Amino acid sequence: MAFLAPFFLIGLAAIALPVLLHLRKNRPKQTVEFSSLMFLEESPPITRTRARLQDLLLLFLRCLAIALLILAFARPFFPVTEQAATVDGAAMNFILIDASASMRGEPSERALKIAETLIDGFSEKDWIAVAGFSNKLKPLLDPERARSLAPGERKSSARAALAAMKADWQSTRLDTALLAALAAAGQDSTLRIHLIGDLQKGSTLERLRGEVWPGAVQIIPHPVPPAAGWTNAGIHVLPLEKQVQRVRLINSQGSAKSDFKLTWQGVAESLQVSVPAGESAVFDAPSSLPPVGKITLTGDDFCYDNEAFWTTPARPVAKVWYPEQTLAADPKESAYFLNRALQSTPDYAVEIVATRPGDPPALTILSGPAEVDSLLKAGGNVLFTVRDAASAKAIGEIIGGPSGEAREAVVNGHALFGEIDFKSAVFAQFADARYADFSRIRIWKYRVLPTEITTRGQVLARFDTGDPAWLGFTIGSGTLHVLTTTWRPDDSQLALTTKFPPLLHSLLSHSALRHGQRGPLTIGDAAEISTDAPGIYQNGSTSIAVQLAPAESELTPMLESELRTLGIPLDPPQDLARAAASAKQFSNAEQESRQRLGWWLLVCAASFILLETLWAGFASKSLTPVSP
Amino acid sequence: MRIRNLELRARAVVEGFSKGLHRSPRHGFSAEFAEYRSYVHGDDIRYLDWKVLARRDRCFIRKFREETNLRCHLLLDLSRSMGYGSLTYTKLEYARTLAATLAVFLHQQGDEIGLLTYDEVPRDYLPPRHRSSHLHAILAALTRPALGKSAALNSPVEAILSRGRMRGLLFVISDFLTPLDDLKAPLSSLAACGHDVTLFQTLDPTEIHFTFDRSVNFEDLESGRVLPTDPARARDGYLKKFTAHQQGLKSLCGSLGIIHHLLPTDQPLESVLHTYLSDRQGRGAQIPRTRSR
Repeated sequence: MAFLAPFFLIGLAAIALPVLLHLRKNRPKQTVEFSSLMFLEESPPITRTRARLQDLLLLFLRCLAIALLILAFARPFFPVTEQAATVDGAAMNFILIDASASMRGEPSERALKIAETLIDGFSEKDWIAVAGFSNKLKPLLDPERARSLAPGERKSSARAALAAMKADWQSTRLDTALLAALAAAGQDSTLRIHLIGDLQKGSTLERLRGEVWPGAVQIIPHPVPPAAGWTNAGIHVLPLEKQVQRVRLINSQGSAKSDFKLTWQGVAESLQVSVPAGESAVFDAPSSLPPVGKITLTGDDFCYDNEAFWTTPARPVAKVWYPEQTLAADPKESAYFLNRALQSTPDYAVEIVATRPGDPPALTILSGPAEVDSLLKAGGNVLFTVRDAASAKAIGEIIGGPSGEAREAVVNGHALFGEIDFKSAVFAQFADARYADFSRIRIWKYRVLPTEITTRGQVLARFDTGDPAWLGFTIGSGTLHVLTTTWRPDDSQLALTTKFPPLLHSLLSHSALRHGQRGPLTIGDAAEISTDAPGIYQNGSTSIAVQLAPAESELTPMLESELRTLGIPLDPPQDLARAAASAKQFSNAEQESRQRLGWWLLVCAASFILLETLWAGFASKSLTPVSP
Repeated sequence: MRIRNLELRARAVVEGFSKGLHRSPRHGFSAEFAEYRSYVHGDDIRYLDWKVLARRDRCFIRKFREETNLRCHLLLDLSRSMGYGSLTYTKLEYARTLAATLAVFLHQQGDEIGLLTYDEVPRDYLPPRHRSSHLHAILAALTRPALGKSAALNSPVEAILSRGRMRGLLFVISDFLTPLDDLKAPLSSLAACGHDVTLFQTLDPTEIHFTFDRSVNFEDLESGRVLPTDPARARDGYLKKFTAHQQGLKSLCGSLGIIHHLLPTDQPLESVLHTYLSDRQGRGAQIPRTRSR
């Protein structure tokens, strides 16, 4: 057994203390007053055998606890030869340099300098691999090639690989990079991953959760933190809302300043904004904004995330296929009310057509048989209003299952909506208590579907009689909604209520086939064109704005404890100049920290102290002198 | 000792016995005939028994038991050793109750009672009187705490003797845990002066039987000396010395005609006083104290 801090063993002399105290303890402690000592002769008390035995046990426990405590402080370990873990005593040093957008410019230069110093400090027999990383690992000198190099070439090759290192515009995916590095390095030797970068909080770590790290892996972080008093805020364009451009300003948690200036291209006046550190705020664009442009943020220390681009895509058209559209002029028919309820919105235009359009429509409204199978499978929404008992057969055909006879419900006066599932997507917008009142909608007529059909779907609303009013059937990625009545004035008052338009728009907006407006894309997200830097790209006639991932703006360095809680085998960085000289010490410290003998000794010492306390308590209770 | 008030306690004990405690050592005018003795020159001819002279032609003097108002002294030891007690009360509290009981009883009989408390030196001295306020003064003086470092009987005895040679009853209440040599001289003086002396020795049961069982440091209440002792080993020696001291005290008292009565504090005071009285009556008259007048 060896000790990392052997000078603590001097403390073993403290064992003499309990021995001395126990020797003193032979004299009685308790004093009893007595009227006269004229008949007494001094007779030094002799410790009784039982008491002496107890005292010896106590003494033993106390000495043992002290000895264990001191041994724990001396940090013992069993020396293990390093050859067991390495091949030819060599280790793989894998230098990972952060090349994400946040490292652009000066931080990247600092990182390269650290890497060069590291390479100088490595032992000649160690292999050196180099890679950059942002959203993925970008090997510059991969471990396999590094192993094939002769000892004399290793450092020079690594330095040459560093020259090719360049930061890109991607976000930091630390988890992906580490796992890829681990896979690339193999596990047949000691692996030291030197992580050089800003280690910003915006890095992703999710994939490292629960990862089991091999014993021969150490990760040594070499942080490149921003200079003291730094501020970084990022600007990101959000998707259009009601045809208004919006931007989100994110101020890093560690920022010193909170006042910034936003300048919209094509707008003369700048906007002074204040966002406290660690918070974000959304700002609407001025009304007179050109369709394509750039917003610039000023007031922080890092410029990589200070520009964002916007485009103004054309308003999409949501098509509604309604075969009864021809009856739109008849105020007794459903179409009359549908055309008035389904109006265009700032986000999309609505077009109601009577014939099936070439493109799959976002919403199809039926009251009789139709071929909608392909529509539903493509993700379209179909609303089937049950106009009469006979039309229920068509439902059975659409859901491809049982067909039973529906019947006209017997309504005494009028029916009302009773139980409504406000958790469903259709009714969720009414969940607020202010809008949840459906009790004023009177239904004069409705149809009762056969149970073969109702049991296959989900009942989203019921009448007060308990019969299903609204059913949802999931078919493919689309949904078939069935309303067991219609909104014709003869059937119900539904079309006359304020619930009707939102209900229809809800069906439209939840359709997967509605082509919504696309907001700016994040770098690398566009499938059709290559986007590796922020800017405006042309895809045919369409302009696409591409911007930085918002997480990359969070430049606050993460805490070491955050990495440790994920189980990452972190080692503090060594002083590189003395690294070779203290190689043995490093190895000892490593072994000691792995074996954790000291920790166990501390636990034992604590247990003995507890035992001693209990024993002493017991002994003092049973040995208390009894006054006569 | 359940009654807190000393006077109440004393009166409660007095209720327990109502027999006469003493006879006067004097003989004089009284209805109770004691004895005849031959006339010697100088005797008062008033006491000549004329009938005997007429019948037998010899001069005899008639002697009677005198019943007088008695002078009685209570001597109470206030040394710190009296403050010891292994029971719920100390020896001193027991002794106080005894003294108060005697005082109340004697007062009820119409006797004059005096009190002298002492440790190294006499502390309170209340000369014998018969007044109800005097009884209260005695009861008040009895409540003084025990603060003395030792009990020396010499000086109180001298104080009493210096007040006059008038004989009387003398109750000395103490633990008498002092060397016998120190007791011999004062007791002899008292006996020689014709006082009817009774020693009440109040002792705690632990002092009599030494019932300690654990090694402790014993601290002398009077001197403050600390002695680490293993009672198991020291008990025999203690009991031996204690018995020798008690026997020495007894024989001293026997030789001087002094009544010595041991009062273990764990025994009821009333029964102890009964025992004392029956002992005393069994003894009859003390040292020949007849005196012609």
